[in-house]
Amino acid sequence: MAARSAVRIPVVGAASATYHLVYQLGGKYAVISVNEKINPTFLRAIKLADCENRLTSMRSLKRPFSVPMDRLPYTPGELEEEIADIAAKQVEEEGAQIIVVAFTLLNLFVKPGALQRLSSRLNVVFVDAQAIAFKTAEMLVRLKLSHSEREYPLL
Amino acid sequence: MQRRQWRELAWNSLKTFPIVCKLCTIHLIQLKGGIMMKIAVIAPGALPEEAKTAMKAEMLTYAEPGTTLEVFAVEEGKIAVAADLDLKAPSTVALARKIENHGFDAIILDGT
Repeated sequence: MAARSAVRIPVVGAASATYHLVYQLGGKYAVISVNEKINPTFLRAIKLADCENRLTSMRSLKRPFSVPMDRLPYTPGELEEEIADIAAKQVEEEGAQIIVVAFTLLNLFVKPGALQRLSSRLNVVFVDAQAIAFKTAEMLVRLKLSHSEREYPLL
Repeated sequence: MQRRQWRELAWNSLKTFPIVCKLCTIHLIQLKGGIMMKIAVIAPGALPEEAKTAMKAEMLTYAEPGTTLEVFAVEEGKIAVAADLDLKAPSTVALARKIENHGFDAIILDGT
């Protein structure tokens, strides 16, 4: 979070905002990642946010999304089904109550309303990381809050 | 007034119409207790222009009235998640400072 030591306006990390909100929504949560290779990075972000205690698992899509995204591994319908399959296992086998799809661009690759459909279908909460990050930023601005200068001194 | 003067007056009114509209919108938002805010999103990079546009449109669907949004990218190198933005600390820091100097109210490091 080097950026926080460069500016005084709030800097919101999408992952951190999401995992901290998840802690208010339920006891156990699971993560679906879109590329197994970056799972260690995601886990590092979760540990950095001190949110690993309630994590049940991090499972990945069979066909990874990778950068640059010139060839998409799934059609919107296939992606929704794959997420549903993985989430169903996380709910049934691990008791997850919240599902985080660790992909802020998810809504660009699924049909509109996918997370709401999945929530109703599996009776579990799906959170949209991008929306959470955005609303957190708006809330901080509205409340005139920003990060601590003691923790992030201006360099 | 002559016809030419009327025409000039009409033309000038047309030119100022968007500015007046914008000022009225700002005033209305403030009257309703809202605040104008500019939010910057730093994408990890390697995003095509269409993706940035789509991302902006998607995020604006959650926005409060008065919130505007710009998507920036740290272009140098290739990373996939925001957590790795620190690997490109100098570029990210420079971009964050630039964003703040341009009057933005908050920064989102996008990518979970």
